[in-house]
Amino acid sequence: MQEELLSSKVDEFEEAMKDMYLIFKVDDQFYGIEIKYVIEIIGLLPITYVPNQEEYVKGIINLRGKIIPVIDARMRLSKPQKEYNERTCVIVTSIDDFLAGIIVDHVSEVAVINKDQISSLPQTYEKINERFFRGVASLNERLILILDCETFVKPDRINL
Amino acid sequence: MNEAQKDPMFEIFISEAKEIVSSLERIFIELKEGNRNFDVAVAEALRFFHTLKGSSAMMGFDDISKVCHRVEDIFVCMRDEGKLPTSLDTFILDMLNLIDFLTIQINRIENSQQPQDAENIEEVLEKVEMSLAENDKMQAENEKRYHIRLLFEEGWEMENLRAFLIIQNLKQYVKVLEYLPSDIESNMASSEKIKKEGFFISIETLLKKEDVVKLFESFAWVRDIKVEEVSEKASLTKEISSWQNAIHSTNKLINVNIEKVDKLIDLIGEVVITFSMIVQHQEIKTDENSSFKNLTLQMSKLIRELQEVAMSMRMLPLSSTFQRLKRTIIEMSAKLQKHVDVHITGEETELDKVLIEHLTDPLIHIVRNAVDHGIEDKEERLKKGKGTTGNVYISAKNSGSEVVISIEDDGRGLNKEKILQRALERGLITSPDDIGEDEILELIFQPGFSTKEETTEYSGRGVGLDIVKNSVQKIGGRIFVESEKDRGTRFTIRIPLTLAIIDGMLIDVDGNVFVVPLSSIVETFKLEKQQIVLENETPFVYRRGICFSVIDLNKMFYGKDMLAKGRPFYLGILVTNGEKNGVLLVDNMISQQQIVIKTLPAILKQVRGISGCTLLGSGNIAFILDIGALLER
Repeated sequence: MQEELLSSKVDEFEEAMKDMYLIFKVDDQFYGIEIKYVIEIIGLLPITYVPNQEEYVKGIINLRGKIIPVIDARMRLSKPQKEYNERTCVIVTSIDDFLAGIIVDHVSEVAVINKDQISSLPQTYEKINERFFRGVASLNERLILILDCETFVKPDRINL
Repeated sequence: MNEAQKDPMFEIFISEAKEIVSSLERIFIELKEGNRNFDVAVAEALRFFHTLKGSSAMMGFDDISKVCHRVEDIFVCMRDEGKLPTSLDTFILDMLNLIDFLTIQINRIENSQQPQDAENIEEVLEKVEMSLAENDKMQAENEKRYHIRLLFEEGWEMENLRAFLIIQNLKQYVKVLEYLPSDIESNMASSEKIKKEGFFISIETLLKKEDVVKLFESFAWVRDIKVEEVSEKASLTKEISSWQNAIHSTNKLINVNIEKVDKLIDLIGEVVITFSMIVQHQEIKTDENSSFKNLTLQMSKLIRELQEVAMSMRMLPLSSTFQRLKRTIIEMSAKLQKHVDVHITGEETELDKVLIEHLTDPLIHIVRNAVDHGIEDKEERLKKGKGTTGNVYISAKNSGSEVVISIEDDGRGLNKEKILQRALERGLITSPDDIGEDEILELIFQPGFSTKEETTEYSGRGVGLDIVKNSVQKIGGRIFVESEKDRGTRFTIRIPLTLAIIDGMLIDVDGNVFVVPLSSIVETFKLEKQQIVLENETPFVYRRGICFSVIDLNKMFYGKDMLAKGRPFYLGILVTNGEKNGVLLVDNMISQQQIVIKTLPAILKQVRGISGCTLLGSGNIAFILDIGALLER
């Protein structure tokens, strides 16, 4: 009985999370990732540079004893670089049990975006700007690009 | 099958079954060596087979339970009807065969593979059954010998005197052969020994076992009685050690998932780091409160102890690995008809569990070579004036932060001419002058040196010594070989105690902290600028008549040329991986400390020359240098 109750709770929880997105801003553009990947949002911690990495991999940080890599969203999205400031924060994500941080200009809110609100991007766009865009949604008169968290965080060559 | 794997019952079954099989193996090997009484061994083995039969039947692994059932019948027959196998040696080999079968079967179940065919093993069992039937021995109504262990009730003191009274009493009913400790009348200290270990008596009588127990029950102060019927030759001292082993191994062990232990070690590592951050915290550092300082001292001592205990949980003695080696030798010497004595020392030496797993196969390969190629046959040994029985010495000992394992035989030794010739044939070298005298032996570790042409059943199953060397290096170890013609060959393997924690030297490279494993450091020294020769982009250092290539860590990791910094002198660290040497150029040496190794996150690209990272007391991250990879460049 209890287990059933628990699993139905889990289902409910997942159901509730399904259409929720964390909205953040990089440069002048808003982006959204599914909330189920997000563990927490932290301020910028000291980053240790790791040699021989892709340019957008800024290095590793010590998050309470866990060593996790951080990637710079600006560089990943080919935006102009900017100094980090007090609004800069790190979205800690978990994909299949491995953690990674995404450095963004600032986090704005959590919003519900239904599937039918998301329209697909023009094909040419997808080709140019890599594979991590899922579509675009309009929310309170802002356009939000929906990111596929897995392809965004994972380097292109690894299958994890 | 996949369903079953997630089941905790399944995990318990596998770990229990493995334990049973290894206990069985130990029993038969001790029996073979004469360290165990036959009847005791039979009874113990029977109990194990019975347990395995039950649990495998419950889990639905019928092939195992069927075989166990059949073996159980054989053992019951031996125990109750006093039947004996015709030849003890063949019987033991058959049983070892059976144990192999069970091991494979269990491994296959664990990896959800199809179980192997039981036909072969059924033949073996049939053979054993036949040999029992032939050898129906008559048991005469003789006096039997019993060994007894008594434990006294606690809190009465003067155990030695009470033991003495019992012996006096006992003499009225039975023949007392021996008792231990034997100095109970004169030595008061024996009382402590009895309290701890019990009082051991050996008697001879016509009484049945049950009656002997009853006899002892009639004595006062006795808390626990253990009676075993033994053969006439059995010695009480040996019996005691086997009983004590049984007491230790059954009562004091629990099975813990290694992941839990690793998690514990990780957590403690984090406690260490967090604690040092607390101590170095600005608000606390400036506080001159001495009672707080005392507390932190005490706390750090406790944490260090906690860390040591947790680390020791990963450690296992090498005894079970050595037992497998011994077993391999026993089997091989029987089949190859060579007489080989195995001498084992230091089997209690402990090593990280994961390291032991990686070491077992290489070690087996080496002992196979020793018995197959090293030890000569009887005639040849006699001609050389050696004893007819060959010897293999297996030993382990601690040496600093390393464990040294050596396997030595007194056989014919490696033939340097043959090695050279083979290396030439295989194109490993182009002329015999290519290499020095002391490098010749190293050739046997080269890939492609051993061939399948001469595979016998035991050595060289397509596996060469290069694989052995590889596996040893993979766990951070080094392997060496020495050999003298007709005197023998010795392989020495040096391995770090554990993979999880190493002693390291912290160094500064362009403001970043790196860790050099202490085990790979030969020496550190100051380098004047003129000692460095820069030619063809590959600088080298001339030191005491030898040239070492220079590894500029600044250049390698940060693209900055260290030598361009124009310093009057540099700091060099001479490092080695056992065969190659090199000098690391560093900006500064910081300190020496133990570090907990962590792997780099999986999504990062592998960085050549970096094997992992660690957290420092300050919370900063430091990279651990992979000296082997650095020297390979």
